[in-house]
Amino acid sequence: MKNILALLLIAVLAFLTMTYVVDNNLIPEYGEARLDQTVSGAYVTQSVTEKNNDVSFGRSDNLETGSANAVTSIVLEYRAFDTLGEVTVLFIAALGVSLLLGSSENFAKRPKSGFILKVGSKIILPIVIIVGVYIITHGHLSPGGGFQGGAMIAAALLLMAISDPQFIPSIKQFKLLEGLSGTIFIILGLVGISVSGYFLSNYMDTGIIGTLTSAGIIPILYMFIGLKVGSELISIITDFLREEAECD
Amino acid sequence: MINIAAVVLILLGLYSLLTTQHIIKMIVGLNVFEVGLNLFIITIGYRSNGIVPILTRTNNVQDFVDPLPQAIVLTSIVIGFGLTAVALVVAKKIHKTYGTYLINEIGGKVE
Amino acid sequence: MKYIVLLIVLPLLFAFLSMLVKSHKDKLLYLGVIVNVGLLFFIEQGEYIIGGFSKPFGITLVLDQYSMVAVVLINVLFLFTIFSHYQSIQKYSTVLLTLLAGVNGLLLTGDLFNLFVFLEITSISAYILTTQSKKYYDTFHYIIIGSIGSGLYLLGVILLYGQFGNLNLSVIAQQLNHSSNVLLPLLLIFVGLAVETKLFPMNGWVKNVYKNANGLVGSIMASIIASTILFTFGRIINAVYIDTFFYNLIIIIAVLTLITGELAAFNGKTMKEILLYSSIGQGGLATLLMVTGFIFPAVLIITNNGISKLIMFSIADNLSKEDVQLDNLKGKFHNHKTLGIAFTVASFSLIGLPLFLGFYAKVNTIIGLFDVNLLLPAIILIITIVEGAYLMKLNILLWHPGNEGEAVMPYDEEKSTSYSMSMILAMCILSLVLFTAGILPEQYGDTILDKPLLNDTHTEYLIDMKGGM
Repeated sequence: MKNILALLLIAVLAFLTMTYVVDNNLIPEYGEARLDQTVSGAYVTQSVTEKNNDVSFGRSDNLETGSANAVTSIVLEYRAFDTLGEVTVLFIAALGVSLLLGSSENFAKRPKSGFILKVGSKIILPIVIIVGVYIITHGHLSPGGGFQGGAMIAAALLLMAISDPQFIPSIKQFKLLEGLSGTIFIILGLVGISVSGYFLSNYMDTGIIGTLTSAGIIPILYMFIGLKVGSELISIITDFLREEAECD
Repeated sequence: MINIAAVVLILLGLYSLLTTQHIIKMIVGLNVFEVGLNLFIITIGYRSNGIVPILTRTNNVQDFVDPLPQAIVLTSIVIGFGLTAVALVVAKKIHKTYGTYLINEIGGKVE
Repeated sequence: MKYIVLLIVLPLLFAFLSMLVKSHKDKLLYLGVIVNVGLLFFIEQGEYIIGGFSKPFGITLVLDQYSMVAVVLINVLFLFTIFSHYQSIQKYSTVLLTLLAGVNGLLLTGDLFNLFVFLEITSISAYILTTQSKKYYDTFHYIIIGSIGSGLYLLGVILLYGQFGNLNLSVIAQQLNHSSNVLLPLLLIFVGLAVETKLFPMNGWVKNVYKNANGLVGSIMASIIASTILFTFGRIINAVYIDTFFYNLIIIIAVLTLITGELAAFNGKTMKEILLYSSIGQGGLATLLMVTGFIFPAVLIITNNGISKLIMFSIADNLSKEDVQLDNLKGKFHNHKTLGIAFTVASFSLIGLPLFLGFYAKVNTIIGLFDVNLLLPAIILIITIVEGAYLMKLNILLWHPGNEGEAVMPYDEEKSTSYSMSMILAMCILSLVLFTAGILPEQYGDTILDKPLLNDTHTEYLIDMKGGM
């Protein structure tokens, strides 16, 4: 009975969505998105507040965002408030996990790891951490950013935890780091109010596009986001490794 | 036609979410739903002769694909991860309390 | 002007700070709530741009008369909730701070994707708060239905982006005309928000989650989160033009929710069951008013419901720790006279008796609905009679001590907890608000709403939402 009802609901939704999606008058056909009819036309040429036609690598100076990666300039400049909300969601999720699972002090027994895992992880581990740090710092020049780099660093720790059954990460420093990075992120945004009257505006000189020290406060914000995300994911992993508490 | 495939993934995820009896399978169905949704969002901004929206020495700003859906997907992936984490923790607590992951067995023990 | 964004950002700052100073988390929570209420005296109406990029390129926060009423109500109710339940906060201070930020963000934002992010912040904080009762299966049910709802909401927003090219609610409202086909995106957005609004097919999670909630969690979910989502729903529905099929669909669903909610409350066996079904019914009534365009009565109904349910859920939790059958509670109020009076004032206001705020709300509702249909005011009047029946029955049961030789309270005395002075004070102030708003409705209306009252119940409050004024 429940299966038939669910199938009916899915069929209705499928019919409505398919007729909407393949109709070319409503949303653009697949592969035919036109940038000048959406807001992205202005985001890409960095001409939101004043018209700007010339964006060339290594030459344009003091543009609006100064970031060569268009997605980064949207995430941390034009729609930075959404990023603040996203960081908060991850914070609440880590908080919820530690509230529910954080009560026991012992860690569950992990199985012993094989020879290849033990030796291979020792070789790969530094490479993973360095690539993670590279991705965080080059968020405005190449694909990447704080979220991606932070996830890589946390994955490095997970690799350490899998390959060595005696390894126990210590959480207290990570929770302090998490709170500190979040506070600094908001304080940097509040400084924007006193400098230019708008929360989270880019008040530093944005430099020549394409160099490492361009894009104003964007690399700095990404660094703090990377630290925060990395420490949150590490604390989630550690809480899942704990053994279950005896009674609730 | 990747957008059709994305919509099919969304519907498959929803169907599995509504009709399965096992709690972990419901969480997996939720994840398939989220993956289909993110894929659909990206295909809204695709241009067939576009390039990746990162400026280098050799490409031109006018050829970029739409970067706004990609920024939306970034946020959506993180939010989906947060939801999965909370759901898995609650599932672990359910297993601790009732000893099973199947809904019809739990329904008998709740009352 | 710039203090609007501080309403959202300062609670977040305090939440992040509370990870650094673990032992003083409670004080940060109190500080955050007081600072938010203090900021309410400094904000002015207008549109605040974040980052300096005007719409549609950037995110804007909108504060018109509608959101001013909503923000004042929600922050003040949060203050009262925290101060009357300060003993049961324990380790949930950080989650409560992020919930405060999320709720303010939902009411203030003018951007659709930003609304999704704040909806998720609020929902995840609510999921964590409901684990307080340790009934994890009901929380899991709530998580699954909530996730499906917000996923479908995001799908609707993306379809709107593909059609119009931007994500700002007022800009899309200006670009819509009578011939654009937005049925599917609006349907998906409506389904997404209907999970929290507790409308008919999507409210399977409500019964168990509210039954298991203690005083703090129950009041937060029934009065704060419910009122916020109704305000948000009203903003979206009134910004876009709805075609007839969708309009009739929402009206039918809202009326169905109202009728089933109130009839289920009539058959309720325990006190929390009665209250939660009454919440579902009031949600349906407010949705009905929002979709037919009568915003002023809808705001009054939401205010009335928010204040009354806060009083009733707090008192219901303290009367009996577990949810016992009604016969066990006979005559309880004779030992707690002040709280009994507050509870009775709240239930009278909910029914709509004269001298209380609910009367003013119901009168405006019925006068307004006469413009739509003749059937709808009849339904509202019949539902009011049903509400009167079960609430009066509840009150008489709680006040009347029974016959002489009968044991009044068959359970042991320790179950009835002692009440803190702050809770008694908060309940008295709130019931006094309901009473004075009922005696002097024009004073209440003028100080907050600043418009003539009862002249036309069809006033437009959402400035700048319909083509800009």
